Formats: sequence, C-alpha cells, structure tokens
Amino acid sequence: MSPTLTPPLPPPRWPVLIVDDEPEVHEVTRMLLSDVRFCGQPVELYSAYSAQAARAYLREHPETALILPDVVMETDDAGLHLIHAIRTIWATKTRRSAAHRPTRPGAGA
Amino acid sequence: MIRAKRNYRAWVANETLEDYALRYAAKSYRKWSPLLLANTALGGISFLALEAIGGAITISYGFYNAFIAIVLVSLIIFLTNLPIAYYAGKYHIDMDLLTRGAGFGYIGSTITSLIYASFTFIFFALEAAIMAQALELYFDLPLVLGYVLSSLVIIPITFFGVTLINRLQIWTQPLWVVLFVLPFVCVFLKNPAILAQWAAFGGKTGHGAGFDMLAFGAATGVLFALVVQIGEQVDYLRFLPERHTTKQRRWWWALIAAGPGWIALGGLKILAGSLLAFIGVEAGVSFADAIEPIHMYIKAYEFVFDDDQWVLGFATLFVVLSQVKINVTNAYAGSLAWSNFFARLAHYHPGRVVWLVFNVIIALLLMLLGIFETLEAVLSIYSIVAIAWIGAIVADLTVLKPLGVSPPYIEFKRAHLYNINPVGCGAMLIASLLAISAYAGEFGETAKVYAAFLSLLTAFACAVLLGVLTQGRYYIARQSLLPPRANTSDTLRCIVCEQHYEFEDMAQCPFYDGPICSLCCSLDNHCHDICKTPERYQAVAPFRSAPSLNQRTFQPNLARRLGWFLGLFSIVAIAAGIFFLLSYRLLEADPGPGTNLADIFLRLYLGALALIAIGVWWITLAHESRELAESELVNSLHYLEMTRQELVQSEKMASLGGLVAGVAHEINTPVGIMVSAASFLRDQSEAVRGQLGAGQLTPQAWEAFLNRAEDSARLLLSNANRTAALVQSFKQVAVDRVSDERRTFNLRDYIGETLTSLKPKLKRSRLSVTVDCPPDIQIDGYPGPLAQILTNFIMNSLMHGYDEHQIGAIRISARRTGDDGLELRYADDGKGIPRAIQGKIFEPFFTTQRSRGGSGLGLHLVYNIVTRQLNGTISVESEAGQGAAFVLRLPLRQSAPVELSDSTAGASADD
Repeated sequence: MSPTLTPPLPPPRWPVLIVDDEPEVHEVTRMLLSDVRFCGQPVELYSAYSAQAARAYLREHPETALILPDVVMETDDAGLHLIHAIRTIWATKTRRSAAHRPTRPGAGA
Repeated sequence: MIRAKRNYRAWVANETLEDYALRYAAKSYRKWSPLLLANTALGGISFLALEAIGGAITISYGFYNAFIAIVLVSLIIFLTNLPIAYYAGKYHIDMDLLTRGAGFGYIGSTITSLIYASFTFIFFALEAAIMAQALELYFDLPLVLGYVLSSLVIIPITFFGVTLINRLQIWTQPLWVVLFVLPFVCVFLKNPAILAQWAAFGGKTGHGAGFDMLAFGAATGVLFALVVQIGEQVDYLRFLPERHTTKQRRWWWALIAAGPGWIALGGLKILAGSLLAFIGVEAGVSFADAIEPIHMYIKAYEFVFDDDQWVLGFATLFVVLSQVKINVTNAYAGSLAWSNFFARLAHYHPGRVVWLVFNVIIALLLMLLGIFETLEAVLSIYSIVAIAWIGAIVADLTVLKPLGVSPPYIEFKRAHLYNINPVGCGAMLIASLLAISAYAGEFGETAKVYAAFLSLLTAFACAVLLGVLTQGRYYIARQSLLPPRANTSDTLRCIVCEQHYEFEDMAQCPFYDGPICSLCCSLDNHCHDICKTPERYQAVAPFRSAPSLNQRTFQPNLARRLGWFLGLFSIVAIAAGIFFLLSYRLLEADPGPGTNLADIFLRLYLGALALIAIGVWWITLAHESRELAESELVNSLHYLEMTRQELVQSEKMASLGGLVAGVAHEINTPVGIMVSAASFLRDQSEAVRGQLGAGQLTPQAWEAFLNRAEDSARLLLSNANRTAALVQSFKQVAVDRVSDERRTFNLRDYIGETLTSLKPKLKRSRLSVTVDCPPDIQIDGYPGPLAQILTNFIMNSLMHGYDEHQIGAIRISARRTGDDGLELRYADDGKGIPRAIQGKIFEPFFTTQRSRGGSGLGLHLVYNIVTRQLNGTISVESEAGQGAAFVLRLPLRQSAPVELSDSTAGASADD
C-alpha cells in the first residue's frame, strides 16, 4: 500500500492537552500559546491536572494533536509513565507528545 | 562518654523496698506525720539489753556508782545526739550519709559504716538470743531452733522498709507500754520500801555502796556504748517532713523525743533493769541469772500474778514483743549500713533487701556458733571506735559548722566530696588508738576504765583542731554544676538509670555529660572521679566523648605492682595479727596444761603469713588484668561511640539532602512560571514597540497588549511571593535543622513551616494533615529537633502506615498541660503498630522495612531527641489496623543545662 501523499485537512483548531498539577502552569501556558498558529490554524487548549486525568481524557479524545505533560505529579515519574503509555498505546502518525517542563524528580531522597 | 542505660533490679528501683537506702530521702516519699515516725523510732527502745546493762553494772559496782553513771552518761548521750538528730532530720539523710558530710569524706565513712553494720548484727544476735531464751523457757523450744525462729521472723517485716515497720510499731506500742509498766506498778504497790533497799545495794561485793572512781568509771564505760544508738534513731528520723511544711512545735517535739530523747526512756529502762536485778538477787537468784532479762521479768511478774504459768507466759510475751520491736530496727539499720559499705567498696548494690538478709544471716551464724563472750569482747573495742566516731561528728556539727570551717549544709554525694577528709578520719583514728591503748591498760588502771570518756573527748578535740588546721579544705571537692532551681520539688532525670530523682539527689556529671543521681554516681566504675580534678577534666574537654582514654593508659609497672602488693599485704597481715592476738588473749584466760600457747600462735601466724602473701600476690595480678580489661573496654566503647556519631552525622546529611531536593522542586515551578511570564511580556512589548514604530498599532492591539501585560504582572507577582514564602520557611527549617540554636518560637507557626518543607512528599500521597494547636503556645527551646521529630513521624506514616495511594488522615494536636508543660500528639489512621513490636520500636536499628531501605534509626533518634535533648517523655498508643499515635510531653521552657551533642541532634527521615 502506497502512502497517502496529500496530508489530511487540518482541523479548524489544534487540540492541545496541558497536563500539570499546578494551576498557574496552565494559566501561563494558555497565555503563551494564545497567539500561536500552526499550519495557519490556532490551538485549542485543554487541561488535565494529573496523569490519571490525562489518561481518562485521552481515552475520550484520541484526536488530541499535542500533549504537554509535567513529569513529577502523583509520583516522581508519573509524567514519564504517561508519555510511555501515549507512545505505545495511543501512538498515531499524526500525534507526538513532548515533555515540555524541565522538572525532574527531586524530592525522593 | 557513651551511656549504657543502667537497669536496676526491681527491688532497687522500687523505693517501698529500697527506702532510699543510699539516697537523700525524697520529699515525695516522706508522707508520714512526725509523731508516727517518732513512735517508730522509739519502738526500738524496747530492747532488753538496756535492762541487762542496768542490772550488770548495779550488781558489779553497786547502786550508788551505777546510778550516778546512768544519769551522767544519759545526759552526755542526750547532748551528743541532739545535733546529729537535728541535721539528719533537716537534711533527710541516714547516719552514713551524715558521716560523709560531717568531716569523714566519701570513702572515709566506709569504715564507720562497717563498724555500724557490725554493731547492728552483733546486737541483733544478742537480742535474738534473749528472745530464744524466753521461747525455750516457755515453749521448751530448743535454743538452736529458737535462734533460727527469732532471726527469720524479722526478715518479712523489715523487707518492706519503713512503711511496714511504722505499722508494726504503732500496733504493738500500747500493748508493750502496758506490759512494761504493769509489773513496776505492782512492785511499788506491794513493796513500797523496796526503793530504799535498792538505793543501799552495794553490788555483789558489797563494797559499792559509796562512790568509787574506778567503779564509776567502769560503769560509764559500759554505758557509753549506747551512744551509737542515735544511728538507728536517725535512720528513721530522715523521713521527717520538711520543717516549714509542718507545725514547728510538732516537728521539734518528734525530733527531740525520737532523737536524743530516746535516752530519757532508755535511762528509765536501765534503772528498771537495775531494780529488777536487785529484786532478783534479794530473792536468791544467782548473780549470773539476775542480769538475764527473762529472769528479771519473771521476778517482776511474780508481783502481778500468783500463778507460775501466768507469770512465765506474760514475761515471755513481753520479751518476745520487745525483741521483735528492736530487732526490726537492728536489721533495718544494718541493711542500710551494708548497702552503704558495699556500694562504695565494690561499686555494687544489689538492693537493700539483699543486705537485710545478709545481715540477719550473719547474726544467726554468730548465735549458732555460740560465741557470745567473744562478741562482748569485740563490742567493747568497737564501742571505743564508735564513740570516737560520734565525738568527731559532734565536733563538726557543733563547733566547725558554726565557725564556718565546715560547710553549713551536709553534702553526701560522691561527686562533690573528697574521698578522705582528715578532720573526721584523723580524729577518729587518733582517738581510737589512744583509747584502745588506754583500754589495754597502757596508761594505768584509771585510764583503762575511762577509755570511753577519753575516746569521746579526744575525738572531739582532735576534730576541732584538725578542722581549724586544714581550714576545712577537704570538705567539698567541687561545687555543684547544676543550676539552682526555683522549685526544689522538681525532679531531674538521671542520665544513666533514666529515673527521676529530686534535685538534692542529683549532680552534674562531666563524664557522662548530664545530670546523674547519687546512686548511679556512687556505683560508676569508669569515671575514676574525673569531675573532681578540673585540670584533667578541662584537658580532655575537647574529647569529651571519651575522657577516660586520656587519663588512664595502662602500663604494667613494677614499682606500682610492688607498692600495691606491699600495701595490701601489710593491711591483711595486721588484720590477721589482730585476729590471732585476740584469739590468744581469749584462750590465755583458760590455759591448757603444759602447752606454750604463745609459741603455737606465733607459728600459726607465720604460716598464715605465707598463705596471705600468695593470696595477695594473686589479687594484685588479678587487679592488674582487670584494669587492663577495663581500659580495653573503655577504648572499645569509645570507638563504638565515634562510629555511632559518624553514622548519625551521615544520616543527618542525608536528611538535609532530601530537604534540599524538596526545596529545589518546590521552587522550580514558580520560577519556571515567572521565566515564562517575563519572556512572554518581553516578546509582547517588542511586538507592540514594532507596531508603534510602523504606525500600525491599532487600539484593539493596544488593548490586547495591556490585558496580557496585566496577566503577566499578576502571575509574576503571585509566583514571586510564593517563592519568597517558600524560601523563608525553608531557610528557617534548614537552619534549625543543622544549628540547634535556642530561640523562642510559636508552636503552631513552626508546625506549619515544617509541614511546608514536607509538602513535596505529602503532595504525592493521599494523606491529609490537620493541625489542631492553640495559636498562643510559645516555646523557649530548640525548634530544629522538633522539626526533625515531626519529619520522622510523617515519613514513618508514609513508609509504614499506608499502602500506596491509600487515603489517610494525619492529625497533629497540641495542648498545654499545667503551667509549663506541653502535650503534643501525632496520630495517623493507618495500619498501626502491632502490639508485639511496640516495645522495640524505639530501639536502634529496629526496622520492619530493611529491604526497602529502612535504617531503623528514625524512631530511636526521635526517642533520644525527646528524652535527652528536649527533656520530655514519649509514649506510643496503637492497635493493629487502627492507626498509631505518639504522645510527647515536653516542658515549654527547656532547661538550659541540657547539653546538646551531635549524638542526639541529627536523625534519619525513616525508620
């Protein structure tokens, strides 16, 4: 089967999910991305406040284009597990996730 | 120095049995009324040796000489006993503790303890023999069985100390008084002329009707032995209540009646004995039987009853009752004296009750050996030494204290006393030697009979002289390092046995670095009295963890070994010499036919010397090897302590590392938000500037920019505030955690700050923490340790209390208790701690989670911090499945002298 050469039509807005347990992170991200356009389309931002909530959301909304997860949430590596799950279970060609927060597990002495 | 907790046997820790045998009698224990104690102390006066002495001196020296001697000696005994009773009652210490402070020094009074203990068992034997005699007469009980019975019956009564003795004396006193007075009333009613006949009695020779210097002197010599009775009186009088808390007149009445006043009653009993002996002699009883108390009272009761069985029955009842009452006191005083003797000689104290049994068994052995004559010979030597002892104490109390040579109070603690004070020891030695020489006839016949007088006067004079010469320099070795207390009924916790004792019983110990109770101090083997040599103590101050290393390095040294050997050998050789000489004197009185006794004894003595030399050499070597073993042990302990400190230090750093990581994470988020918001604001500003330059800035774009700038500023401000607050609380907690500085802080705020620092850990669990603390509790003390405790508790709950993602609630509550106490309660509702391991959770290295990295130090360090550093207590309440609660009781104002060392400060975060 030959690959389809014509890209699918972009949706009117790119659905983007922010996953973080800090409400202010959501707020500042919304502000930063308010003017961003990709392929001429603006982004639509959705919020999940824990890795668990993100999983639930993604099950309902497999069309999500971009996921911006935090690493340290319920546990030191909740974000990493989330990314792993996204890549192995829900991976599609059109969607990739990125860990955009440089926070690392730090409190686990 | 590392402290191994000393666990006393149950009967040493239980003061109902122990009766503060080696201690200051605690206020909390002295709950009896003065009159009850006076009754108990006077209960001992029932002893029939008084009658026997009265009878004996009357028959030997005639009524006239005996009477004057009785009156005069009673007066002297009253006067010498008064100051002793006063100081014992005021400072609540027994005879031995009093001797230490009154001129003899800590070790100096060991010898007086031994003499006093010997007195008690010799008298015990003599009194029990009188009782056995009565039992034999009435019940036909064989003497040997009588000895056993009359000894063993005393043990259970004396076992429970003054508590039970009080009861015995109060119940038996009325009966005893009636039994004592009744026969004399009948004697005077039936034969009023007896007094005149008695007064004219000239003794067995009939020459004693007039005054005779020698007869009078000999009579005083016998009577003076009674001066030591004050020791038994004050062993009870130390339990008197505080003078200002009770009615002054009652206190004084009890003190005088039961202290020196014993001789008023005692004197009457001596006279009674004199009268009864006279009645016996008149009735044709032999001189030897007339001075036996049982025969005396049989004669007395013949005036009351006509029937022989009644007479014998009542006389027996009276004798048995009297002897039980006195021998309880003898046994009690003996048990105290032995405790004191062995605690210092061997640093060993198995409990007063053990010495009680020991004392009674020695007395029983003496009785079974049947050596009553030997006992009386020994007693007369002993009484000379004992009189010198009392003379030296009285000189200290009545002359040296008012002069200011001796300190105004009585110090009894090893920590503060010199081992030997020449004032009392020297005076007693000189007076004893002089008086014993006089007694042996060295200075003629007159000096011989007045040996007791000589002993008393010489000891008194020498003590005063030595006190003035030494200017009292050997009384107090060092001042107390404990800070003065406003409230003297506060208790302090002994750092060694971890029991609480009153302030008067405690000293500050530089060796163990904390307050120590007088008993633990007495029994310590390792410190070598380092506290009394300040230069040594200061020299090792930087190495306080093991000062003993620097002060006793062991080198087998020939000169030292030889010195040890020769010193010990001479002591034992002299003691054996005295023993042989005494045996020789006793046998010489009844020489066998044709034997050269002196020659045989000399040969025996020389043979014994060879054996003694071998034994002493063996002891010397054994002592050396014990010293070597001990120094090795102290070294090992030192290294163990260093290792433990290093471990604790590394735990502390690990815990601090965790804290820093938590801080980093917690601050990272607001800082990230601020960086994003600031860079967004910059980008937007540049965009707007560009539009403005190009003249393209529309009102809509301007409006949008302003909205975004406002949002950015709001985010920047709120996150900057958040960062500042985090830094503030972290800074305080981190500084407290490592510095252990003392300050005044608000408890609720501080709990809040501590919880903030734990937020990263708590956030990821599903545990909620509620704090229930009044806002106005201020603590003057050490906040760092408190934060450490809370951290350890919370980490324990997280690690042990809940499964992953289990929902739970932790509750921290605080409330005041009393004026200056605080109760802090930490409770979770997790799995709880099984009862089986509750006793172990505070032990070091105990953990149920070794495989998950538990060190087993967390709760151990909590325990150390609470009990040693914060001076509080901790207890645990838990049932499996119902959560665990820790209850801490802390003072709001932590006492200043509590030394803080690394060993108690740091802690791991887990258990």
